[in-house]
Amino acid sequence: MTSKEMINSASALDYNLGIPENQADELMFPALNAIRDNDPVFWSEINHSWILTKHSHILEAFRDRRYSSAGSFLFGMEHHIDLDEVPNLVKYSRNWLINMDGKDHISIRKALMPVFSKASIDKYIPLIDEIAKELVDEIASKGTVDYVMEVAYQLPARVITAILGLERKHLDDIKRWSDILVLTILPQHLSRENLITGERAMAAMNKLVLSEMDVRRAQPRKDLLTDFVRLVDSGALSLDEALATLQIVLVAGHDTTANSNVLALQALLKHPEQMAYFRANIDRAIDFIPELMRYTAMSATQFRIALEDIELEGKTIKKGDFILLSLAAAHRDSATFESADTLDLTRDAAGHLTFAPGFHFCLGHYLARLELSIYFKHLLQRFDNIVVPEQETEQNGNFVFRGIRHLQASFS
Amino acid sequence: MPKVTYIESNQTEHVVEVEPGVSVMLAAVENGIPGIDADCGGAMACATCHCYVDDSWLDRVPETDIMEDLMLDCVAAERNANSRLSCQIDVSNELDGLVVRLPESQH
Repeated sequence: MTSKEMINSASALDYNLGIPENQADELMFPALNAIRDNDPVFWSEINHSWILTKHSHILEAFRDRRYSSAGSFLFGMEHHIDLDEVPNLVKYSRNWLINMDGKDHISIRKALMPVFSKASIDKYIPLIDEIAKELVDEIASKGTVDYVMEVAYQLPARVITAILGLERKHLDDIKRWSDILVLTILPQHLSRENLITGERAMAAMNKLVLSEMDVRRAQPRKDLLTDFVRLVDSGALSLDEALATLQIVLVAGHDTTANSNVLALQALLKHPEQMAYFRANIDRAIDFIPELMRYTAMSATQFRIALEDIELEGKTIKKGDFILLSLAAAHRDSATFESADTLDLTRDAAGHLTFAPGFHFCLGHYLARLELSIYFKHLLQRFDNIVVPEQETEQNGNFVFRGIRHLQASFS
Repeated sequence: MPKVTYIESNQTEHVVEVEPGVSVMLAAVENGIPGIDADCGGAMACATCHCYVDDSWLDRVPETDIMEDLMLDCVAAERNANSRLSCQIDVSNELDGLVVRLPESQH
């Protein structure tokens, strides 16, 4: 093949991840599969980035210090706004766990791990169970709902608010700040407007958190905010690190869980035999979440910056290059998953990359699986009939955490 | 090929041939040995691949670096002087015969 033919064939493969419509399954998976099968270390002119698509490459990248997270968030912020206008974003983004590497990263991670361990999170089972039942009761009383807005987003919003120990009156603020911060921190939405809105949301959230931490300093409670007070007062975390982490807890556990819920329900409805299997083995719900996450690829993309030149399959990723790790493509990699395009709840999907297994392995991975499994148990035990009529769906425009904006569904 | 012996908390022994360069953790996971979870896949990010290196081998495995030392404080089972994260020990011919004991639980 001549170099010109290579360029032309590479261009034919290129795929704009920034267009919301391009996140739809029927467009996205074929396009990413084609990149993986033809040019797995692909320079995308459209996205100004490398795109890695092989499972083995991405798994390795998550564990390779040359693929850096540090500085990858709010990358290029200074080109959109004078940094003096966003002092909170500048200050706290430096302390986001997802934006750090090395010894500082591990020190903070180490402090947080006991708070998010299975033993700690299991204490919230009754709380999560109560919220799941409450939501299912609401669905029953309505019959037909916008599943995205009235159900899927409510679950993590209520769970996070409750686990933090905040009163339900703060729920709307919690959700609004989470929505804003997602737009602020994800690369495709970087704009002056979103940065200013994010700055204000961050300031407001910090104000509430600081006030609530003071309350718990005087009277400790059995909640996450009290855990964070202890971490700060013991010196395990600085106050800035605690506030920064709580911002990420808010974002990381919100859209992700909501979108996973919606996409999982859609997948189960499209595969009645899998739905039947799930219902027949409902007590193993938590075991099915990994396969649902793999198949639906809600967590579709991660990103890193090359700390040095990286040679990979004959290509040279240059120091400073932006790298998109396509988990969606990796999840359909037949070199790793047999019949990768098939939803199979009997599969051992432990190799899924949803939680970025590696240095930045999601601290909330167990909470996410637990929350969804408890919720789906209640949902599927309560409703024999779930109908999603034919409808146009609008992508949320987030190529990192995919989802749709609305979904009419009826339950009986 | 070097061999590693994994001893579960119930004293069940597994002897595995391990390709040089493969970590003690990965060999355990790939051979289905119970007792190593390795949730993060070997990046020192989860502390669920904890093992106790037999005292006779402690001086022969690669040294613990500061980052592994930090993470070892997060292991669920008791941390002892011979505690290691098995994802950080790459097997070599020099480690032929290595013996590690596994905790009762990684969570």
